[in-house]
Amino acid sequence: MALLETEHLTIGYRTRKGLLKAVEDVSFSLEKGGSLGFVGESGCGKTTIGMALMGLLPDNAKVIAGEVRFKGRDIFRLPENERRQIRWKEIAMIFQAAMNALNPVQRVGDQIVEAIRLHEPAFTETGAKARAATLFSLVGIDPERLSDYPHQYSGGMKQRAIIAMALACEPEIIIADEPTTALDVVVQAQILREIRRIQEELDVGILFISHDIAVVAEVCTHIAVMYAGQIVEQGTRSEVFDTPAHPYTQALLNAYLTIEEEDTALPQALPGESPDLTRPPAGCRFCERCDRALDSCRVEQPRWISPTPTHRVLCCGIEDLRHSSPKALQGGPK
Amino acid sequence: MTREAAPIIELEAVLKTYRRKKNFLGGGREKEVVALNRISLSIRQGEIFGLVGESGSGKTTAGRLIVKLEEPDSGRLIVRGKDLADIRGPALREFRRQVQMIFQDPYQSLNPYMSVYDTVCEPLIIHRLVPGQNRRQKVVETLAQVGLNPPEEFLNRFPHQLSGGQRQRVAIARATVLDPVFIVADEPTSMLDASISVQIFTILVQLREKLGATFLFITHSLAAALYLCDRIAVIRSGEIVETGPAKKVIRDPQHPYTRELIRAQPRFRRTVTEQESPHER
Amino acid sequence: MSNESAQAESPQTPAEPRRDIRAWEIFWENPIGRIGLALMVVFALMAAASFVPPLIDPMYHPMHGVDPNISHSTGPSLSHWLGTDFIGRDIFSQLLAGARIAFMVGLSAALMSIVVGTLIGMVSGYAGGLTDTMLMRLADMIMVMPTLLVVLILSSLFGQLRIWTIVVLIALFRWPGVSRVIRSQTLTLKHRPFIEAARVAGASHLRILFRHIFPNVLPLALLYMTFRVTSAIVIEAALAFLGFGDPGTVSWGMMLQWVWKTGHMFQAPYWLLPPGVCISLLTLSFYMLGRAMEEVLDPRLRKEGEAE
Repeated sequence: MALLETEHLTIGYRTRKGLLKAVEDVSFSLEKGGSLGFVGESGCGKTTIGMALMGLLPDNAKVIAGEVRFKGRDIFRLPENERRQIRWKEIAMIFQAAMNALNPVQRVGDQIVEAIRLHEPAFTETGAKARAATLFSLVGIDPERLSDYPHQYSGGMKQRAIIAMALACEPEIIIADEPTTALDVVVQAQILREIRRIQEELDVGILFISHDIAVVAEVCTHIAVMYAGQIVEQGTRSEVFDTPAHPYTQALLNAYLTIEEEDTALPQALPGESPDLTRPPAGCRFCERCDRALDSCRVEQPRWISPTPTHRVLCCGIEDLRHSSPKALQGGPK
Repeated sequence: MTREAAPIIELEAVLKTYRRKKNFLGGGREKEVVALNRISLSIRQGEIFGLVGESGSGKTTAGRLIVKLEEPDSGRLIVRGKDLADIRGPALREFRRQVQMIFQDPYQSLNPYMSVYDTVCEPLIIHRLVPGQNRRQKVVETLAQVGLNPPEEFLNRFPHQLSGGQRQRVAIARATVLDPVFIVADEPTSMLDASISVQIFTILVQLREKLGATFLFITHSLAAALYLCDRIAVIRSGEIVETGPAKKVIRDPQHPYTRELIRAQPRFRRTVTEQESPHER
Repeated sequence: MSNESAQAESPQTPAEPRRDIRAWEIFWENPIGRIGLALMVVFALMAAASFVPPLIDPMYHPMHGVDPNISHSTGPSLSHWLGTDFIGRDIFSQLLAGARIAFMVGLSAALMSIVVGTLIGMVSGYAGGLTDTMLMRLADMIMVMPTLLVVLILSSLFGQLRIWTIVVLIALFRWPGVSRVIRSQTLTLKHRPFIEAARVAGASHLRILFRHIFPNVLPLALLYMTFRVTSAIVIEAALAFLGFGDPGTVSWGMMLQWVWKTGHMFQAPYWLLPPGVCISLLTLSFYMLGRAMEEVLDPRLRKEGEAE
């Protein structure tokens, strides 16, 4: 049985312009110790999913349909106190720019101890301090630094401290939402390696959310690509990156500039912008920007197609589906 | 681009320091931070020059000094052979017409109370180069140039009605409406998604062709520098560690820091072994 | 070429309604805003109606109109809805006139102090250095002076003060509070990228101050104006009550003074209560307006930099 499962999850925000369907019909599962990455650009709904799993949706958000099951239990139907138990103790979250969440006037060690004792009242002060020291060693910070203040830490260290805090209660799943966005490339590489190592050592499940494909590829064995609130492609890392099938995935990979390319002409830009989710289009949400759109794409809802048992793609144009390598898109008319 | 064009902008031994108070918790001692440690740069006419560095390296400071938002503590800023230390009045205004900047944060670089038209028209009004009745036309042309089509539909919009990518296009329109000669682009896409970034880069390259302008492209992304720039300089802690043609510096780095930077760049094509456990339905 | 263009929002995405309409919607949802606005409208109507009574019958003139049949304070009756004061003048028309004065004094004093305070605050924050220091020292000095006391001293020196003098004096003493707030706001704005962009475009300092900084501090200035109105009304009423008001104008404070001076404090509730209640309600209404406006301002400021 999967540790975490989602089925047909649909979430909307009540805004002045109407109901904004931020997440539409999202289904996925995460095994114990597995790593699943959500990739997509701003507005695609990935952060909303993370918050929904933690039960931290804002007041104007509404779960319109679907279920989320943790260890078989529907967490939306649980009473608040049970959900609070799950939150942090079994599912922990690292938010965007989390390092700014550290209290600047409190020693880091004290903050971690506080977090531990809050969720596990059985811990004594000494016990919690010892645990904090262990956690710091785990994430690669000298435990002596526990007595320092946040401003004495570098950006990378703060982020590691946050990860340590997330691990404090030995959760089974960590949801990481853009944990390395504010960090330098060099530090980012280190942190990602740490996350991978911790994940393997502790057999913690990871749900990694990012707009940066490379970052997701470093850490996750399975990827879900999101666009305009929907998952458009899902599969193992090599399936999604080496043989992307959905035009958006291909465009996303195309837009990612790396230094390894021989041909350094700019790739063809994906035209247009994401659709307004208060009035989602009738057919495929991507077809306005798709270079392979058929007339039917505009009116028909796209279907799921599975090139392999583990790989599935949401796309109308069945016959047009090509397992092309991303660079095949280049070289078009500029 | 290997023509040895004349240098259009040069920084010569530029020193810039800031006095920063230590955090109130750490005591109020003032610390002098050296942002730029006597650096020298030479940017040639018509090229896209990349300044690559991590945060805190001083790259943004260099850009700000070039557009004269700040003055160096010592050293010179030389434009077309002329030292521009103390220019004022009409000379400064002429400088501002020719040297422009695109800022990093599209959510903060537009005045929320000014419409797109107002924002793009403002340089025209300040410099009085285009008579009143022709201004609208010029604004419309510039908006079309940055890909905001149809331009008329954008004229009366306000920044909060635009997406990040659209805002940045407006910022580019504002910077180019006077046909400047030199443009500093300070991490113009770091706050935008990858696919929008490519749109913006494409516009910048097109503008280089159209206006014949020279660019200083400030970035933390070696990859972006590789795709966009003719020559690059790598900067760390206020010092330039390596300069040269973009491809050469990246393919054959000489300085250890450059090598470290390259090694740290994410690579996602070389996949390491992965366990293929059945995860998905 | 059209590949790279960002399409203007298609029929799928209507352009957002104008900011002011949105602001109004947010304001309207807040019950405090609604109540405050309703109250203010009532008083505004009263003020507008203040011209009517004398037209109906000269005896209703608040200052000079005297009921020929009455020469002392009487309770409410059909011809005098709130009764008459000690010489037979109609209290209700006095109340209406008082509303007019309150609005006039409140709004003009507030407007003046806001104009001065905003200008000084902007210049101080933007210029920095010596100018800033000097202006803020001046503001500090004025701020610590007790307004009422100083005005009392001045009027005892110069005799009875005219109403407009009072207005100007209130304004002169009330600008420092505004200027401090506007100065802080200017300081934060000064370093925002769009201001720097204006500098790089070649804008002069004057242009930056009035085209860029001013519109961004204006909402805050307007907000403070509502609070200033309340204090202006109260100060004027206090002055009048203490006997330092303009004897030629009928304000609520004046009415209270008459009640008190003529010894009717406990004998004529119909005369004592209305002006007091009106002062409280009018200041309350402006205060509520201010609070509701704050809510309009905050989410707008928070709107910048949308997250996912």
